[in-house]
Amino acid sequence: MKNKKAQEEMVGFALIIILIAVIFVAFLGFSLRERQTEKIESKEVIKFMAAVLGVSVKCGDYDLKSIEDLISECNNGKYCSGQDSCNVLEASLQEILNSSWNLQEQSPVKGYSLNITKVQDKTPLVEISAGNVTRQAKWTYQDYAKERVEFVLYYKP
Amino acid sequence: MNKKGQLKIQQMIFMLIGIALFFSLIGLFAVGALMGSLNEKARLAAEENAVLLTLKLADSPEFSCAKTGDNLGSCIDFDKVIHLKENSQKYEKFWGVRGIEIKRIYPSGNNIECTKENYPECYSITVFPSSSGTGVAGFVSLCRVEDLTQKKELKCDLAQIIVIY
Repeated sequence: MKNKKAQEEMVGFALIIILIAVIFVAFLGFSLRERQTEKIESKEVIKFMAAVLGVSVKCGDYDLKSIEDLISECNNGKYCSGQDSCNVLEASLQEILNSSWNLQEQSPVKGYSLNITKVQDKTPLVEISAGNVTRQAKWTYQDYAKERVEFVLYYKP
Repeated sequence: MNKKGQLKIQQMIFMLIGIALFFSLIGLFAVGALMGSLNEKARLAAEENAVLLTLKLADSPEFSCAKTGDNLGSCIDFDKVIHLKENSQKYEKFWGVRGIEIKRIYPSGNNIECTKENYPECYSITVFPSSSGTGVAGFVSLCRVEDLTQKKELKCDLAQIIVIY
């Protein structure tokens, strides 16, 4: 009789331990999921991207191409001033992003990434990133007929 | 026997208090995290609204270019802004802000203030100067018609409009 009572106590204790363990694991899972980057679609970043896509780049002395046009030309393998359009596009975007966002210690912006991919097979055309990836980010994308432009701005509150 | 029963009840009460305490701690932690995230989202929304308000000013007819299309960005006409700067005293109270500045970001260069004489080889336009206040900046296209040898084309640079409230 006494032995059976002890067994019941042990089963109860084990059940409580299991319950607490399950709650702990669920809580841990929730916390880890929170640590992934939370991307918010931001109008501020949409406006930035729209302004960037409209920037004109000189292709030779008599031709001006917008970044938007250069993306399409890069995808079609065309040339700009005798150079590969993709190289001109990447160099221009690198300079634009570098001059636009201050990634210094005191700045709330900690990093960014810009990816231009082909819609068809998701092959990257241009990939630019700088700084650090943080838990919070402002994000936007622009879809064209054949290309997709995705920009993420990482910041620390 | 009675004493044993009392002991059992006491044991159960301690266990229940322990579990209740444990759950309330978890609840408290979760609510704290949720509130922190909500505060952060509210701050971000307020910040974004300030930027959008600034960009709305850039979309007013006195600044905006005649560029059409499905581009969602704000476009500032460089020629209009230079003329506006020359007549800034007439518009001083028009927008109800302390100051408006436009800085060219790309192509980058030294911070030369724009005048009718050095236009377009300049990088900063102070439409209304202000020495105090809070500045809110938003990205815009700064466009003008470029006279290329064979044709005229719209040339757009990346700029920041800074409105001082």
